[in-house]
Amino acid sequence: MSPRRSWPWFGLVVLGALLLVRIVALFVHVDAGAATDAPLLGPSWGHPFGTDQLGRDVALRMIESTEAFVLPGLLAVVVTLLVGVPMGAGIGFWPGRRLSAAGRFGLTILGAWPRLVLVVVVVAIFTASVSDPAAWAPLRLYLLGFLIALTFVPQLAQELAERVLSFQREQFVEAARAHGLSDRRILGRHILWANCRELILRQCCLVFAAFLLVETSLSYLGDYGVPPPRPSWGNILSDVRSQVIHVRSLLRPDSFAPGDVLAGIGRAIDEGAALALIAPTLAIVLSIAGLLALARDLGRRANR
Amino acid sequence: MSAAVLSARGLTRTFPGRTPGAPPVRAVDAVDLVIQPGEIVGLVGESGSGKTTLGKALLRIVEPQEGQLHLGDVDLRALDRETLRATRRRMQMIYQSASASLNPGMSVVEHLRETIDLHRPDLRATASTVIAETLARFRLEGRGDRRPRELSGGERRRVGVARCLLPDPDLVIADEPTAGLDASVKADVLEVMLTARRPGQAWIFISHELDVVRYVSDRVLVMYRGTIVEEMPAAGLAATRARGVGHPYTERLLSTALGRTDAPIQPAARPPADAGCRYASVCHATAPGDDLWSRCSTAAPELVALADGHQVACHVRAPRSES
Amino acid sequence: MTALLQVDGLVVEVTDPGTGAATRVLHGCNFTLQRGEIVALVGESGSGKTIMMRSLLGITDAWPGVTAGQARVWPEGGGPTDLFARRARRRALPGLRGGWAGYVFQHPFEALDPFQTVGRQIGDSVRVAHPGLGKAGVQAKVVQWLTAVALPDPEGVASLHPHELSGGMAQRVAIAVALATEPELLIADEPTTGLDWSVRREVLDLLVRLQREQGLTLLLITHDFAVVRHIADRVLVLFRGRLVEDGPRSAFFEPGPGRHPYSVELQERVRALDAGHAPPAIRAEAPVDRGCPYGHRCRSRTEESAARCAADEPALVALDAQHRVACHLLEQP
Repeated sequence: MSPRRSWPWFGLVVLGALLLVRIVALFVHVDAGAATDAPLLGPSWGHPFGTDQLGRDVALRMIESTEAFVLPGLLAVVVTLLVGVPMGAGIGFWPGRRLSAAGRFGLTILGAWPRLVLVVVVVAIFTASVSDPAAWAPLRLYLLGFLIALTFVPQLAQELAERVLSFQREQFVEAARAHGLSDRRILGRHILWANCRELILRQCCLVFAAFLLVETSLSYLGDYGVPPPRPSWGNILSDVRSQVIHVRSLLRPDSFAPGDVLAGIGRAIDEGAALALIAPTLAIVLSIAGLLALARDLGRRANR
Repeated sequence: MSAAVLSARGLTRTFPGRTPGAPPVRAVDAVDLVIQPGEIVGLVGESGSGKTTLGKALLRIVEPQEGQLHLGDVDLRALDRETLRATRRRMQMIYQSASASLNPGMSVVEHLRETIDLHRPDLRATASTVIAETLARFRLEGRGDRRPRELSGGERRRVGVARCLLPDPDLVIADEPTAGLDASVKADVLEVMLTARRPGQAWIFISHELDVVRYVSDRVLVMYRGTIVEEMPAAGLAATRARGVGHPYTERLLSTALGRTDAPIQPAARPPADAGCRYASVCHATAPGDDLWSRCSTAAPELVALADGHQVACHVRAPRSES
Repeated sequence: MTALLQVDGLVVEVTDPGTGAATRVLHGCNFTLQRGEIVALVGESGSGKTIMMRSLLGITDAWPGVTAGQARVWPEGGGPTDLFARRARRRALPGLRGGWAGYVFQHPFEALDPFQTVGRQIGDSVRVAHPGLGKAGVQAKVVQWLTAVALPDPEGVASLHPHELSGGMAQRVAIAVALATEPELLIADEPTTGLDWSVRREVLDLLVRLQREQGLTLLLITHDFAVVRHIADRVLVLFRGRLVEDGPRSAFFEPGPGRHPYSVELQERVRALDAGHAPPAIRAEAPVDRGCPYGHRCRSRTEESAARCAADEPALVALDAQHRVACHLLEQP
């Protein structure tokens, strides 16, 4: 058992990178939608990830894609916290009250629904009920964030309630009351902050990761995500979807000698839109992996 | 006498029986108690005597169900929750298990700082200095940033004591502060407590270790199954006490001290009775057939003064004079 | 007197979970237990007394554990068996009946299985000593052992679960569980810490009585010199992993030539509380790694000896046939 007291570097770096890119995006707003007359270029100094089939710079589009998930994702986190934490803390600290029983019942109901299906259905209804979906897209993203948050509330609230309950029974709570501390202070400072914060942060990472995944998936699929021409990692991928066959043909090597294989890859990157396929995929995978790694590490610290 | 720090009359606390169908347990049974400022009172008893419950009931950590309870002039039982909480500044309890009474997620300094914020706002400005002095006084230098898990048993006890003494209370109840400690660490913790105590502070020292209680206290109360059966100056708790004096239970307890050459007194084995003296079923000073047995088996004895400061609740050893 | 257990140069190391480094907790201990005697192993928490016994019996998960030394047992009617032999670790020690040593843990509720009745747990021990015994025979022995530990209504207690027992009763049950394997050595680890005075006295008197009746060798691990004074024939004193004194009862409790300053300190504590005055304060200096391990707390150091005490670790030297001490101040010039 080697308890490395190390920071979860990978996860923190990923999180930091995402936020940094978002901030950069706010300032460096070049019109990423401007079509150049150079479609499907390979990587070059002017276009690090090349251009897509409309000639737009892929790198810039990827940076601007962060608009689609950073703020709405943070909204999801905030909603999860605002709803889940008081519910979990209350149920755990005052398990006997009628309100707690009602809360537990509510969480069971909320947790029993096929949640992802519910989310998609709500978003679909919303889309169908507005006349110009593209204009309402930003609001739809926030709505999505809100709904994803609700799907995570039961999990957070129940885990938190269990943990709070286990601490509430400890003698130090009785001793704290004997010392003169108020219940509010005991719950807030002693139980939640001192002993539950890793658990709560872990759920935040999971919510954010879930939102990112759902948003990029919906954008890829088309109707309920980010509508073109606004970029999202998902819809960059779907734009370039048509290029897959072309890329595949470029990748097919003449022989399986390493040289030929590498040449094939090089050709695909230059003449196809391989980078436009690879870059968003990699971005999604790394981001989610980073967030999950952060969550796992927080989970371990919580159980230390 | 409103000069008393704490006075309790008829204090009672009952718990439901341990198994369903069992009769309720009177953990504290109509106890009267008066603590004067500045005195150290020892409360001695074995497991099941109710001494810890009495300590908690005196501070309303556990709610007494009957009786009067006053902290100075303040009627404790009449206080609402908020006022009671504020009053806790004046009455503190040092818990038996320091590890269980400290927050595992908070460091020593965090505990102390919180106490200052809560009970001594006048010290907030100089909090760091006060905390540093406290750490030094309780020999915890260098331990300030550690969490309870990272401290030794003796250190944890000292943190518990430090936290309770910071508000400068009028009354401190220490529940088994030396239980389970090594003989060497025990003496240490006692010294720390006695040195840190403000001379005018009243202490109730609860313990099952007679030698420790005798060393620390001014006077001693002996508790058996919810009632106080004897009260005496601390020196009276000596193994050298003459036989036949004082309550039979105290006598039996003293006889089980290690290092005595005579055999310890064995408890009698009679069926428990519903009425009368609680100690009758195991008492060695009387038996069915003795003259006083009828009284022992029907009427609970009350505390009767034998000599200065010495009271005993026993029909045999301190009969109430019929007038 | 015949020897039951002989330990030579026992070194035990434990890996510190934080740093990963191996720390030595026992530094080469040598002692012998004679059959039929009551020995007290005295030391404060952290002195290594519990880990010593558990390492000898192989019931510790300390890693790497025993790194040097030899321990030999002379079972009834058999030759010496090496406790640390590889073969011995994997199977029951050849030539010894099931359990040659019984261990009574400090906290009975931790040692007893909360899910099994008292009767079943004692029954398991009985089956170690009598492998082929039938159900009725086992049940009879269970009742016999419960009676031996002075529990009223043995049949009734046998059907209870540990949580239904009081502290004193549970401790007696734990003793019965250990005794039912019919060991030759009974090791009781702090059996009376935390118990009420009356219960403490009963448990100690019970252990002495059982030792006499069953012909056991009894090893009592304790930090409390009052317990030692009450019960021991011989005393082993452990301080920071080193055996600093090994002597008969008379050497400790009657005036005599030499006692280790640590033993003196332990006794003064007991006497002080009895007499009602403040026990001597512990000198609060930091322990050092060189020289005598007790040096930083020793109040008997003199000007002349100070240099030697700070430089050399004293070895266990025989003051007479029965009494060994590790102290520079007591060595014959």
